[in-house]
Amino acid sequence: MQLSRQLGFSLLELLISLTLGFIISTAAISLFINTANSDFHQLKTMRLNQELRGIMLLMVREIRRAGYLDPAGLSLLIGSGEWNPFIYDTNNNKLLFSLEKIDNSPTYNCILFTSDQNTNGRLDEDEYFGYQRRYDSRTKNYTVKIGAKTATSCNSGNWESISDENTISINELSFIPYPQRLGQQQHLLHCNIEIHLSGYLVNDPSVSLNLSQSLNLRNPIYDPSGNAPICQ
Amino acid sequence: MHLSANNAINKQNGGVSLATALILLLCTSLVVMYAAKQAVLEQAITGNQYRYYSAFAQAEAGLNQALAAYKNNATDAPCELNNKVSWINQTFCAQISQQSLNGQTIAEINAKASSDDKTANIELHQTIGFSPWLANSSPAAALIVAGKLNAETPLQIAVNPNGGGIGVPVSIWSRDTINLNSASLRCQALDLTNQNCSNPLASDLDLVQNVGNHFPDLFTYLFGYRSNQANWLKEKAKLIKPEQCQTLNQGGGLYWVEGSGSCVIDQAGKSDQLDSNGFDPQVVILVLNNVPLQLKANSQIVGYVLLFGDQSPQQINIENNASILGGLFSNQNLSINQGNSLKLVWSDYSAILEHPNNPSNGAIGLLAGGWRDF
Repeated sequence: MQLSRQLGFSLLELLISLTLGFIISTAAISLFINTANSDFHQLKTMRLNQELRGIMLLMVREIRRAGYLDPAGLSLLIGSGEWNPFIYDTNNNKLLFSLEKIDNSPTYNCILFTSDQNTNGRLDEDEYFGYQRRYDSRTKNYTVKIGAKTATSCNSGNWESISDENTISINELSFIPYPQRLGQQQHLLHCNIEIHLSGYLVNDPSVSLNLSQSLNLRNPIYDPSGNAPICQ
Repeated sequence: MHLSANNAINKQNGGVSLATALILLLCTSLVVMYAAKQAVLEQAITGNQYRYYSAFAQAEAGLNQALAAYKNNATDAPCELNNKVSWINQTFCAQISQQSLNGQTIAEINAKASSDDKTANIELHQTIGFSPWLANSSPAAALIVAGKLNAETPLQIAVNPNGGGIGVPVSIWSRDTINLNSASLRCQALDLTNQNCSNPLASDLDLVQNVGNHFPDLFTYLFGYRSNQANWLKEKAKLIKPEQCQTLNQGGGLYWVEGSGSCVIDQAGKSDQLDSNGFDPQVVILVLNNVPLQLKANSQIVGYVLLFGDQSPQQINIENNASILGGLFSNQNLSINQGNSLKLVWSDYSAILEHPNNPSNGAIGLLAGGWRDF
């Protein structure tokens, strides 16, 4: 009796159920794929975002304090006619805060500065800092490098990558100076530096990010010549 | 009934679909949850940055307000960050510590601020100082000439009793020869005030002449800037034209005189009026940039006068009985002409000129290079 009732599906039932099943599973799968895709994209963007923002914050904080000299060192300068040794190198006659163009860049993509990190009032060998954008020949990507302590020029000293050159390539790192003179004090400059930083993911160049931030150098830069060599 | 129940069970055909849908849902949920976790992380990072900037801005406000307070002579301030007790009704805490370093009065402002939830704490430091006008406590002699001195006018000079070292008096200090009117006299300041100046000056040992390199740059000796950086001093000075020299009895401080014509002085600097702090706000430092000086009859300058520039010799014309209480300096040859007497009284006004409480002192301000956030 029971067997005789197992009649199976009719063709029509089968077609309808297959069609419905197909529609539903297609919708579900495409929902899954879309969600996953957008999440992956979001993850990549966040990854890039975190990396570039971290670099930007680091640069802003370090550059802002360029030229710091501890109080005892400053007291020796008052009325002496001497320069702050963290701003101007009298022996070699050059500003220690400088912007340079390397790798044929049209904009300034290397910044050099010093500050009295160990507050001993002397410019030590390990108090030269900098940031630059460099080509990494191994990965064939561009990276942001930090001049770790001994960066006396854009091409010498110890420069280390702070962006992950395996996953991120840096399109642009540029420092744009905007000088502001302080009232009557023609020889003192408050430099505003605008930093542009942009990069993309190496394995998905469609994921890219542009950041820009401006900062005000808290320690004014002396301008012995009156010509503001870095801030013009 | 039995049959129909069996039928119902056997007709449960959606099991596979349900399982598939559940698996897909699970996968989607996992991915979404992971992404959400990352998003929360990013939000936390952004929030941290926001709190950092918020605390940073408050700490900077602290620096500025503390500097303003320092200028008003407040050297310390109550401060209790944890209870958000604030100084000057802000949410920062700023303290000033003043000290003497290498002979300079230096103060450091230390400003702390926290974000509202106290997770971001910023501490900023700014060195401030008092930027003096004079490089040395006071110039060593009442008359210093970086060249040849030719004085037709009889001079009466009150010596610096320690000008050549402890107990070694100096009247005139010159890089080249000194030609004086033979009626010139030297004495102590009190004798001069009492009209009792009687020692002949011309032959005395306290004329230091032909000293060459003692002061390679008089401007540096006086003010600490090289003469090719004279603009640095000019920036700190009140700029006036020669014709405004007549009104110099209306305020002390550093004046830079530039323009055509002579600087004619009747009274500059005034010692009979002390302000509420006991300071004489009228003591002047006059820098005459290629401007001849003319002292009217019975005129008086209280302070220091530098004849500066490239004209040589520089000229001072005296009507009768002029006096300079402080010092007279020239970076070129100097000619002092006419008149029956010029009194030069060596005086040390550096303590008055440079005292931080003197309203017309050198600038109190941020020392370039004194900011740090570590």
